[in-house]
Amino acid sequence: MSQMKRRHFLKTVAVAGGAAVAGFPTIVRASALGKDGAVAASDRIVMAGIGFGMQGPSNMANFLEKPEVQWVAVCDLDTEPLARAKAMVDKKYGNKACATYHDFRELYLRKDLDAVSIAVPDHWHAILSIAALRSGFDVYGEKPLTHNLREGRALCDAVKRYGRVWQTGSWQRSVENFHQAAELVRNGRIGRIKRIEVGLPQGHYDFAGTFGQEALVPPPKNLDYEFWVGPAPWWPYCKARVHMNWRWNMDFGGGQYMDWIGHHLDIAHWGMGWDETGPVEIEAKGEYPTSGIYNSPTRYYVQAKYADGTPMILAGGHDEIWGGTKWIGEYGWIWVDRGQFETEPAGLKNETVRPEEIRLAKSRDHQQNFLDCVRSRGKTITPAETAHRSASVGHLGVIAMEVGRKIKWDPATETIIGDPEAEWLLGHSYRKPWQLPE
Amino acid sequence: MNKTRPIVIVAALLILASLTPAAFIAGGQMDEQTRQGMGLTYASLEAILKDLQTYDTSDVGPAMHLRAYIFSNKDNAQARKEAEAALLKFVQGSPAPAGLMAACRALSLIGGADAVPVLAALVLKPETTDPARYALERIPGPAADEALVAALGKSGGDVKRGIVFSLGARKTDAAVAALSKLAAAKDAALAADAIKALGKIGGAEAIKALSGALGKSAPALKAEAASALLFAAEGLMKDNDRPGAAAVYDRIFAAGLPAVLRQAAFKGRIAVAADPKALVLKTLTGKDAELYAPALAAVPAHFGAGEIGPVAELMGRLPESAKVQLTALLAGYPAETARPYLLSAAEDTSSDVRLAALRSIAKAGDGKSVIFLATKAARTAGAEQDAARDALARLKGLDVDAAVLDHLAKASDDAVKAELVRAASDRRIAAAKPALLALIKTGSAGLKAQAAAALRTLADQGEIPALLDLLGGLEDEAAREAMQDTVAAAARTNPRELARAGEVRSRLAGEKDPGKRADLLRVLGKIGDDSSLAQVRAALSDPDAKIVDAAVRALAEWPTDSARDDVFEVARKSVVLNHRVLAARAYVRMIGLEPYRAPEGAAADLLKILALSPRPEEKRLVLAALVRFPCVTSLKTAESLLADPEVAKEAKLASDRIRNALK
Repeated sequence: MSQMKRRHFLKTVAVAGGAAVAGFPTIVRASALGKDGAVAASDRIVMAGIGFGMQGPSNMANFLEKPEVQWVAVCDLDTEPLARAKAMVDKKYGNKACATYHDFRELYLRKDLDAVSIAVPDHWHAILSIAALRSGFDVYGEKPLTHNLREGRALCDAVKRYGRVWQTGSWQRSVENFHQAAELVRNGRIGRIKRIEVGLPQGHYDFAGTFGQEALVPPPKNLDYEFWVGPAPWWPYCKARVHMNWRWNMDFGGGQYMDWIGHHLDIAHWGMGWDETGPVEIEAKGEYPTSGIYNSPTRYYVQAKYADGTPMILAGGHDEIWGGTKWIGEYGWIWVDRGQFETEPAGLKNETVRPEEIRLAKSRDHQQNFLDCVRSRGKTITPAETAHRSASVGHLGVIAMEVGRKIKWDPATETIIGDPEAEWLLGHSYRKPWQLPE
Repeated sequence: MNKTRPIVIVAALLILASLTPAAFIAGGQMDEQTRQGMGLTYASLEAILKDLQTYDTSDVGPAMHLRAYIFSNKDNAQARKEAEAALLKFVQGSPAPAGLMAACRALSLIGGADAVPVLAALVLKPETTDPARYALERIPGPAADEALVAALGKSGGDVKRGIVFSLGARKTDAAVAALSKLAAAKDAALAADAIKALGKIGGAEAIKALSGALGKSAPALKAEAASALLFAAEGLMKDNDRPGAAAVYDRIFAAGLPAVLRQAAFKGRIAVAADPKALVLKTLTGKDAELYAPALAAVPAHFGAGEIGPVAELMGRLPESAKVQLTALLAGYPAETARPYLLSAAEDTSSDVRLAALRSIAKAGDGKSVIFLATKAARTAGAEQDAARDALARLKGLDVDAAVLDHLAKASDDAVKAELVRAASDRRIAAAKPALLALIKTGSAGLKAQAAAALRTLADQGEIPALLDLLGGLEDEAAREAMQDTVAAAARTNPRELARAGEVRSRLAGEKDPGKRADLLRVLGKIGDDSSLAQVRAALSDPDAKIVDAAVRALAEWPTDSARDDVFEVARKSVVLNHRVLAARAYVRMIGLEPYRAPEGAAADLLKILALSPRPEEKRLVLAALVRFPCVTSLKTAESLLADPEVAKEAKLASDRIRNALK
């Protein structure tokens, strides 16, 4: 196994490429003074980003569009996406002031940061996020909230303990058709819900175009692979194991099931008012690969039951379950997916909810919602607890697949009832020198 | 021997074999089994471990098989014991690192007392410490604790650090003394790890050690100790030891730490305070601005509906960021109490405060807030206008609708009236219809358009004749277009699809005025009732250019793909560039209405329209549509545009996506 030396985290030197550790443009533009409708530099929310593989660049691009954001630094363990991210920021501001970091611990020592946007593999979510919260930053993080259930609770507790604002990248809540569908369900337009179906993708998708590149080779010089593996158990490097395709390995991600649980299951919960609870029973079947380098389930069928008796099916690779979220009620059904929204009866789609009925929080723009809450210190549209509860259904489903039996869950105490071996799977161990901070 | 006896024995064995599950024959010797939960098959443990001896992760099979085996056999006491023994022998035999990891993961589930000494020896070696630790961390019982504590004393460097983690994860009380010493170690990383572990273990002795670290360490370790103490204090709160927790919070608060830790400690102080309200008020009237945020965050939990006054009165003396926070939290208080403060905040010099106020009024306002919000919406732009409009739409209370109607009748300012019209629509106030209809007849041009648009959410099919009459009398183009949309929306409330356009078709048949005919044709296009297609098609050959234009636009707007062939012909034959462009765009849109269509067919159609689209704008639309229908034709079509400099970027993106989808 290759080892690379890391700088001691107490040192504060930024990696080459960034001049201004202070985080403000070196050339003072008119916009910095608040002219021409821009926000004065002193009023801006100072941000940095970690992780620029897949979602990171797009999140940053959205934030860079906001005049109230000043983006000052980028951090990644691979110098190639790091350079591209820096170039994007420098182009926006017309200078070369964006600082670059290899080690998030050095980034977190900056005194000028207000918030960070984190888009890294799942196995890093909890450690990076809790460390950010402890450093006093508000966080825009990605789904699933964490890599295991215990981490999720630790993260929620840290948000509360340090009084920070958290937004999860479950951006469907900021899209009109999902909002409308959930509001109709919540207001009983199809009566009592008899069943919920959540359709998620199946298989493994080659996001990075590296399928087949499975030969075990030394990692490339541009990637600090030792650091990248971080707290996960050690896996020797091959190209198909990292960047975007890491999610097909259960030690780094959770397959399609965990990748999508924070989207369509999150919407299911929203419609039902289950943002702070979970199922009471769950059983699942998964089909796992027996060869190749990936080990996440390719087809899966999860059955959950909630305290009021409502059953929910989550499935990937089962055509009878439509992709997206479908609530089936006494008087019809409502189905919603990206760019799609159908109801039975058909006219229900055009109904609106009156002001005196239950109105769900509304956000037109997920990043803007985060920024508004950074200022007001209010709750975002997908706060940590909400994201944790949707990810929990994922984690419990994965456990149920592995133990091969029904799990009974107490959502109030977050314990598995009467099954110590399944309970064992709620957390995991960490490779040194990493451990979960409080 | 009886000659039949061997035959009987063989027969009996055959029968027995057919009754025994094809899998399990004797302990440790298994044919292929299927693991129900994971859908995996596996062979004997011996075979699996043989594969794991040289396992390098290039193929997950051996590790998956071991996992399946373990989950299948762990509930059988005998099989579990045998598996544990086999695994312990395996891990001592210097297997490949990945094989060792797989085996230790299995031992973390099924390992018991016998596993502890074996794993304790492995924990001391750098090359085996992590996997061994993973197993030891999970094996229940004091033996594992004792082994780790003993290993702590015998190890150094990174191995020692890992053992510290595991002791924290196990919450090993017996380790507190040793960890307390390490919390003061010269090695800052080791000291930090020990501090974290103490925080996880908690309890009086751990807290004492952490308090020492808080007092004496370098800043980074002080912060570490403070975090660990906060964690430990939460444990005390859960155990209802409020005095203990209070002492910890006070200690952290007094330690001169960065703001985030001070604030967290202060939050804790409020939680344990005898009089939290008094503490909050004292803080907000004090000079320590760092504490305003946690003090305000505590307000909803401690100040009831009738108690917010003293806090709200402080608005004027707070800095901007605290004002924003206070304004936002007023949303949770009753309108009567919060309104005066929110109305005042909505006029603050800070745009952030004003925005927060408008958003709070959406939740806390009532009928009395209506005219204020309508005026605000009329006089502002951007985020403030959006917030005011949103608030008007969401205000709760039956008095709100009445207030909207009342002010709509009285308002003399057209801009304010327009906002009230919008609110009537957003709130679906059916009682507003007469007023809206009146505005369409007698209002200013802008108000006519606004009122016509507002009716879209309120009108139903029964009102179509009246709406068509009004449409005929409108001169302003914006108002006419808005009314066309409204008539179409009203028609769509008819559940009988093929009857939706009936009234409009009858009018069209008898209408002579070209302008009015054009309007009616546009309405038919927006309704999209297929029984109207013939009439609209016929209008394409009308001698009046205005009629032809309306017919083209109607077809281009058709909501279903029934008009696809018609728009293709327009794209192919029309001599008017605008019409060709509209038709080409509509054609691409209509192909997209069938996402489940066979890709080759859809791609062939897109190729056809591409040939008729010289402009880059339409080419880009085609490229975007091709991605939705990945096939060889789509790929070739996208690649054919790589050489076109105006759309090369989009062509590359589309080609890459299609190629990926085809893999």
